[in-house]
Amino acid sequence: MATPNRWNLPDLGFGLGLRTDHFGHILEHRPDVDWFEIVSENFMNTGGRPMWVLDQIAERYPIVMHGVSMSIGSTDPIDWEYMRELKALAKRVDAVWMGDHVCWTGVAGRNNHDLLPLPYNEESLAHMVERVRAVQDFLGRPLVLENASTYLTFSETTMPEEEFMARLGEEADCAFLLDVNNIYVSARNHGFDPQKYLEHFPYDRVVQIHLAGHTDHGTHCIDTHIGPVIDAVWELYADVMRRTGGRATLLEWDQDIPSFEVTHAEVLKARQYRTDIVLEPASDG
Amino acid sequence: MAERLERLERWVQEVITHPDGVGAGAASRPAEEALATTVESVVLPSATLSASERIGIYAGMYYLRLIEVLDGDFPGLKAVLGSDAFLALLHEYVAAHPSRHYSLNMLGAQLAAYVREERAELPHAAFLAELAELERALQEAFDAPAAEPLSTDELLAIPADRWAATHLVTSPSLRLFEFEHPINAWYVAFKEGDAGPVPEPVPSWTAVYRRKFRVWRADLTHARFELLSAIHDGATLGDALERAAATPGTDPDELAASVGAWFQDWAGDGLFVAVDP
Repeated sequence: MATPNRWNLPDLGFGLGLRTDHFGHILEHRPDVDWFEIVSENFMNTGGRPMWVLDQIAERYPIVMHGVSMSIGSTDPIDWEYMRELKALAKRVDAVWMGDHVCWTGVAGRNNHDLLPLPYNEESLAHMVERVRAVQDFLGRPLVLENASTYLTFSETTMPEEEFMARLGEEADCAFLLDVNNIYVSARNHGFDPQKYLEHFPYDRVVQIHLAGHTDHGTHCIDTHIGPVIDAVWELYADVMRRTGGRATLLEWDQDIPSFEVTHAEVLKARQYRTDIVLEPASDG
Repeated sequence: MAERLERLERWVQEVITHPDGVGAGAASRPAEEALATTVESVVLPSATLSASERIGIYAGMYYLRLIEVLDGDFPGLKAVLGSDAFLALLHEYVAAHPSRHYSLNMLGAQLAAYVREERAELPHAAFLAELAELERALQEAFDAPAAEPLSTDELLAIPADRWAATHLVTSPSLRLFEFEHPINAWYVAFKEGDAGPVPEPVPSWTAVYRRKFRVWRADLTHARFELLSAIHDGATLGDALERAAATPGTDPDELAASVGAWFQDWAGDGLFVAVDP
């Protein structure tokens, strides 16, 4: 039995990241997908065909917005114009929820277009809490923040990531998107135990799960969103399903993107994991 | 204010975006002003990678990611320069003009100005800058806000006695260029797989616009360009026609005989979206 999140946000079932490669297929075939997630910024600065396509898709499918440029961990002032555009897009597509990553993307007015890591310490936590609260007040809804893949550890870090996330959730009252591939990638890069990470995560704040492939360089892993999900990540997903009873699940595939059918089949593997483990059919939202 | 975090973020940004790599970034003045320290004292090593290798992952991805975005947006520029010189130019451009916008769509917005104003030593710099302008305009037209065009009938419905004082609002996708080179002619040949050498300077006038999700390029005569530019800039139709009539070599009678057909063409292309009387 699924345990609810504290906002009673719906279990949307099994979704896919909306990518331009699949626009034509989706419009023509109207595939039986539970929901789509968009990269918010891809639709915030365009009024052409991408927006027209999104309008069509949003009429038929639930849409979740997942951004990459909120830079919520930056020490620059919050970009309120960006927030206004984000809020307007959420209204236009009737987004079920919206979020970004626990990261920063730039400082001194710059955007490096990367999900850059924070030191996990009291100063960063207080900074994040203040900003998350301010943004949530403006958006009028909880932010759904994702654990990002990270490739370095700062010497100034004083607490493990899962503790930082748990305290951020508690003090800012935000929601989480738990990316199990990112847990695997970061665990490999930093040498922590992913099971221990999962033991301490605040599941009542988790409203969504991400699945993806990555690139294993032997010495480290990079979150490339390429290829199918590896078995070790499926095992982490199964563990999260045991702990939560099920959450809206989404597959990201961003490099060497295959046909729509292949990506859809990959996310539907999650349905089987969930059914086998929870012993009840997945909700259709 | 998270003062220590602000210093750390500035330091990281300087280190990972330095065009000569992590070592040069950490030794740079801006990095030292942020944190007077070493990479090893800021970043911990892992079991398999040193501190420099770990932060180097971010540095390596920075230029790769941004250059990949621009690489696809300026195919003509790449064809003229050759792949190696083009990628080197993009690397230098990104270093000189880092992104300041949430959208990667804006990354190439200053490339033409960069070539014209900061890379004038490049062979054919003036041609390259104009070509970059055209290729950037194609991106901008693709992403421009949508607007329902006026029909020819709606244009014809403007009363004759109000015509001279009327303002027409042009499509948000419309971009107009007065080039020193035959840029669009060269680009047409390039798209057909027959790009010739860099042409000699010959003035040309080009419109770029989007119609039904497709981006178009159209060469204009000088007089057409002046008329359309004046309308685009907000002039009344009467003033715009005066500006077109003042174009060197323009016969007023020929202009008067042609202008109706021009407006019909432009209305058919969806270049006008509103009447602002």
